[in-house]
Formats: sequence, C-alpha cells, structure tokens
Amino acid sequence: MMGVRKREALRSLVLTALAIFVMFIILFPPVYYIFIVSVTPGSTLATTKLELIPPHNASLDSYREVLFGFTGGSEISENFTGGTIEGTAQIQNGKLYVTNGKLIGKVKYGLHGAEVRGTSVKGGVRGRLGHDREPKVQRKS
Amino acid sequence: MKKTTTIALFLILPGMAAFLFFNLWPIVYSIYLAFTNAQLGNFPVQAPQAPKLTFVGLENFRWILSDSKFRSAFLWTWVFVVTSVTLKVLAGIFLSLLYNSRYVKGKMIYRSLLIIPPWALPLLFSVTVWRFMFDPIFGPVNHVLKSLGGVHTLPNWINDPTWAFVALNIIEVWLAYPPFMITVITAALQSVPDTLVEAAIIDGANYWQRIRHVVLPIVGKPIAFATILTSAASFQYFMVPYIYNAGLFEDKFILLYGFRKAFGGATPHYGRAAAVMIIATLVLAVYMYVNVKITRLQEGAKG
Repeated sequence: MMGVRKREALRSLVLTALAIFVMFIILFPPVYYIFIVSVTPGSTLATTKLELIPPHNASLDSYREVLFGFTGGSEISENFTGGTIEGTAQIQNGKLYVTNGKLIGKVKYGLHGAEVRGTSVKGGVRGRLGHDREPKVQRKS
Repeated sequence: MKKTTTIALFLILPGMAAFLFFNLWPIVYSIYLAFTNAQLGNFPVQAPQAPKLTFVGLENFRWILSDSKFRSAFLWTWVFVVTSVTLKVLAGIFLSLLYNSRYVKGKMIYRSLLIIPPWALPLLFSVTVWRFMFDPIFGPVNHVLKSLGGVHTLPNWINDPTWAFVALNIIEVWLAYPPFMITVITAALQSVPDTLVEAAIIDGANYWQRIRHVVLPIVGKPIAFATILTSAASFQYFMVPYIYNAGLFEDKFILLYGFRKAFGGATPHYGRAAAVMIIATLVLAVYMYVNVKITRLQEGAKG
C-alpha cells in the first residue's frame, strides 16, 4: 500500500514538474521575453547575450516614457542624418543628449527629405543610437 | 398572401438587405472581377491612357495557372498545411493529455496561463516579437543554439526560405495550439466517461493502451473536426508570413501571392488577384467537403 502511494506521489511530482517545464518553454517565447525586453534599457537590447532574468541594470524607463512621455526636454522625431551637432552633448545609455547647442543637417520630413539649418536647442533634446552606432536624433512634434 | 406573411417579409427585409450587401455582394463582385482585365488604370476609375475594363473570359485563370510563382505558392501552401497541422495536432494532443492528467497539481492554473496569452496578445504584436526572437544576430533563438554548441552556421530565420518556413511553422503552432486545439481536445477528453477508463484499468490495460483503445476513439471526432478547421486556417495563411517577411513568402503562400498580385508590384492586377482567390476558395471547399466525408463528421448531425 505504501509502495503504491509512493509511486503515485512520485508520478505526480514528475508530471507536475514536466507540466511546469513545458509551460515555461511555451510561455518564454514571447510572453516572458516581452517582459524582459520591456525592463531592459534600450541601449542594451542589441546584445548577443541571452538574459533569462531581468538584467542588473533593469529600468522602468520604457514604461515611464509610454505612460508619461519623454520628460528630459524636447525630443526630435524625424531621422536626423548626415549633420553636425554643435554645443554640449553627451551619450547616456545609448541615447544622445544635447543640452544646449545647434543641429545642422538633413532630416526626413514628409515624403522628401528637408534641409534643417541651425535648429537651436534649448533645454535639451534627445536622440537614439542606431545599430550602426551613428547618432540619429529625433524630434517629437 | 397572408397579412402575417407580408409583415414577416417586411420585418426581415433590413436583415436581408444587410446580408446581401455585406456578404453576398463582395463575393459576386470578386467573381465578376476575376473575368475582367481590372488593373490599376481602369479600376475602380478609368484613366484616359489605360486599357478599357473589359470581359476577358478565362484569361486570368489561364495566366495564373501558367505562372510558376502561383504553382510554387500552391505547392508550398499544401506543404505548410501538412507540416503545421501535424505539429498543431500532435502538440494539442500532448498538451491536452498532460494538462488533463489527474497527477498534475494545479493544472487549471497552468491551462489558463497557457491559453490566455496567445489568445489575448494581438497577432501583429506576437508575430513582431517572434520576428525579433528569430533575428539571426540579436534574437534569443540563435543565442540558445550558439550556447548549445555544435552548430557551425547559425540559421538565418528571417531571410533563408527553408529556415524561415520552419520558423513560420513554430510560430503557427504557438499561435494555434492553445486557443483552439487545447480547448477542443481538452473539452473532448473531459467528456470521456471515468467508468470506461476504470473498466480498462480493471481489465489490466496500461496507460498507453487506455489512451489508444479507450480515449482516442472517443475524442477522435472532435480532433478530426479541429484538424479540418485548423487545416483550412493554415491554407488561408496570410497575416503571419505577411508581417514576418512578405517578400520572401510571396511564392510560398497562395493568399499572399494573390494579395501581392492585387496590391504589390508596379501594375496591380485586380482581375488576376480575384482569380487566385476563386481558385483558393474552390480548392478549400473541395478539400473540406472530402475531409468531412472521410471522417464522417456529418453522421449524427441529421435529425
């Protein structure tokens, strides 16, 4: 009798463990992965390392930005290509912050590119770094 | 005509009008287009330089059937139906048996966790995330393969036709197993009377014998029903390959081929696209009719 109970308990343990394992295998892509990506800073997304637990530098920046918008100044949303930035700028977590200066170059605007000359920056703008690590400054209208 | 009949006809008139306009009219109009040379320039508005919109008989069908891309799309669509449906059914049966087992503790929680996310997540969102997961450089799938070792060349899941096709199968199984297969098969499993299983145990049947000779014959029809419906869905596969890599799969999926014929390329040809849709509909109708006959699903449905 005890042997039968022991066997039943062992079977239950093995099948429950299998059920949890299979559930994890199925839910990891993409449900859990979405969560991991959502708390990973944008600059570290393009990595060749697989993070199974939230990274040490996990942040809620993505949630904050979606819910409240970017609060670090104005944001440029057109793709800024082939231009120069004059003034004070720094890169933090893969994002380019210009605190006081001038953007000179071409931006994508509407269907055709448009030339932007001498856009003054006051209070700070922010851009992103693409895969090619070239700064792409974006302005949010 | 009786007064009550007249009133009844009058009352169903709005419903009939809505049905004819929203359901029947698009079908009739598509059939009409399939026999014309409708293309950009003469449809829906006639441009001065464009050829006139005329009736061309079976010309569109002749053109489509002689197009190698259509034949490739037709063949690959069936390959996808076979592979994806086999995987979906096997995954559905395995998961339903596992999460219906009396030995699994907390199975209702696992079942809910498995069923809700793929159902609740918008398709566009799920496929975009899957696409990122299959990214050849940054995607976690290749990270895992790399860390497992033994893989010399990591597969290009996005741009290589074969690997992208495998990826689509995986995505399809993930998208389809819980909302549909698990629900149908679990419902069927729960309808298996305990007395039959207990009788089989008393007769000395082991687990596999009980599954093979008691459970599967009872759940066979619901599984056949789910298989036919899911294979029809696989045949009409469009959204996932379109989001994943529309250009690569243009000659792999019949509906994507039809869509690209209508809205892609330099000269969209609506007549040919409509012909593709009619061929697809007819093939699917025949396929479903034959399957329903083979599996005898209609038995017992007639009063």
